[in-house]
Amino acid sequence: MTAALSVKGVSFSYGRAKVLRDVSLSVAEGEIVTVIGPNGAGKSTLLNVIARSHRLRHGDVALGGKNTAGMRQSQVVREGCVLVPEGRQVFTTLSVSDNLVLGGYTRRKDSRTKQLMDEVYAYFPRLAERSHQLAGTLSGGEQQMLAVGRAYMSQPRVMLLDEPSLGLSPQMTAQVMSVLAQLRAERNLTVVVVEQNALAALSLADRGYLLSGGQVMLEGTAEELRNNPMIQHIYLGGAPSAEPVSKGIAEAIDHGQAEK
Amino acid sequence: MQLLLTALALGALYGAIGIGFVIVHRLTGMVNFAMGDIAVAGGFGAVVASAVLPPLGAILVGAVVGAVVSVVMYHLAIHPLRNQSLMVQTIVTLGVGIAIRSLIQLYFGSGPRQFPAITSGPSVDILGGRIPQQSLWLIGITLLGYLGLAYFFDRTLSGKALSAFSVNAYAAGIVGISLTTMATIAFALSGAIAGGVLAAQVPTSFIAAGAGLALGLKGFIAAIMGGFDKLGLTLIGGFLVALAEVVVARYVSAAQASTVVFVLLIVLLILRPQGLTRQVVADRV
Ligand SMILES: Nc1ncnc2c1ncn2[C@@H]1O[C@H](COP(=O)(O)OP(=O)(O)OP(=O)(O)O)[C@@H](O)[C@H]1O
Ligand SMILES: [Mg+2]
Repeated sequence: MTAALSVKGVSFSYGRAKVLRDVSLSVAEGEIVTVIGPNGAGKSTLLNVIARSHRLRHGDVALGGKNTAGMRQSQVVREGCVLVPEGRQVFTTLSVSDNLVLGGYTRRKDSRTKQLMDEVYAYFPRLAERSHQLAGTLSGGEQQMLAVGRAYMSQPRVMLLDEPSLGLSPQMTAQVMSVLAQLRAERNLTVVVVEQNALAALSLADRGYLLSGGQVMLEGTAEELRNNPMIQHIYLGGAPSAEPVSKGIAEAIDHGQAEK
Repeated sequence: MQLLLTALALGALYGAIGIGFVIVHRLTGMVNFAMGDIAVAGGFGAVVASAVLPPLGAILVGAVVGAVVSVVMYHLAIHPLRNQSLMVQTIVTLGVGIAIRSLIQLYFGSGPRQFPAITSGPSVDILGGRIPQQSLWLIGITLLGYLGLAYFFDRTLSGKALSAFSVNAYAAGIVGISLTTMATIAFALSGAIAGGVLAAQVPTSFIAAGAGLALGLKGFIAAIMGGFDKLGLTLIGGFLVALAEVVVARYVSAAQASTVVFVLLIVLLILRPQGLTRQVVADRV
């Protein structure tokens, strides 16, 4: 079976600073995969390279087996891969409904806009109540819903989410996460979600990758990662028994980061 | 009253050129100093077309020529520099302006040109002042252009995409809106309104190849008054510039009218960089 999203040997630098080193990952259709890792690990950079907000210079990204080399950003969206960026990035001076309409910009030639908007409003009733409000006046959580809704408007097969829980209350986070689970169940949507909140992400995801210093340090099922001593060390304060092991690996991570 | 009427017609022209500045600036953040010369190119397009078309058709051709020249300029001179700083792009527009001016001069010479008005006949009396019929057409065409643009930005998907791009270029990219497409539309619209309105003015006065620089600067002042953001305020700004100009021409001296306008520009930049709007737009630049 071809992967919905496959990333092979991707490297990326901002000027001289190398931020991604030979990153590879593969996500099956309908799978929810999380990428976790410390600040500055390159998680956002990775998503931006996949979505082609950043140029892809080294390595390959394929969507449903189709290589995206040479595609422009809008073509990647049309191929069904859309980004929900870090910090939400809604169009603050436009209304909620205009934000959604623009989410469907690459699908402007088919006439399903109205129907898709109703679907978004069904997932997020809050947005329906505020459809005429300017997006900039929404709360952080509502803006996150809008960012997800806007992405949904392009009828994606793969949705990349960059820290959707950032600044959200636990309830709000749970609501957004449950919509993602719903989208997967109902539409077979493939989801890649980057999270600081590793436990929340691992409870939603099937599998996960640990990115650090621009490299994939670990990959495994959510279960495996939850029980991994290194993850526990970083995110759970480390169980005493796992200390010696995790300390060694954690040092390796720090080293990797210092290098870049 | 007479001064007001004259200023209204002249102000419509400056306002239209100012709108041309604003549309491009909102999207790209740069100032297109070739704007006046693009408008003049439109005016000469209309002069040429007037040989075979009625005046209204010629004015339409003027708008199309303005749009085409503007778009060609974007793709030849600005697009290749899209990764350079705004300063570089803005300076290049000055060069392009000179190039357009020289080309027009080469083709048409520097003498004045004109073509007939849309409706011939005597000037119209309004509240004790007199205004040529063509000037009414000019004002009407400007308002029509303004309303059309307002509708475009508010109601159409491309218009919303342009606004979205100016608010957040990164997010616009994410939803698949491309800079090249948006810039092409913006340059076309700005060239069309400036070229079309200038063409509508040609029958009431004359057009000469060298007119672009001064026209551009007056449109630039109008755009500053509109905060380089608001189309309606830019039109009002155009009117104020024109009013200052005709008042000085009438009571001081016609020769000094332009000087006064430029002094006005400097004073304005010092006292009120945000123009008639409430906020400074520096964060966009
Ligand atoms: N535009 C940029 N120019 C230069 N360096 C950048 C740029 N954006 C990010 N970086 C650097 O690249 C590295 C990776 O950044 P990135 O945003 O991908 O990390 P991240 O894993 O998403 O971190 P966080 O969890 O804090 O969001 C960081 O060291 C950052 O300083
Ligand atoms: Mg990040």
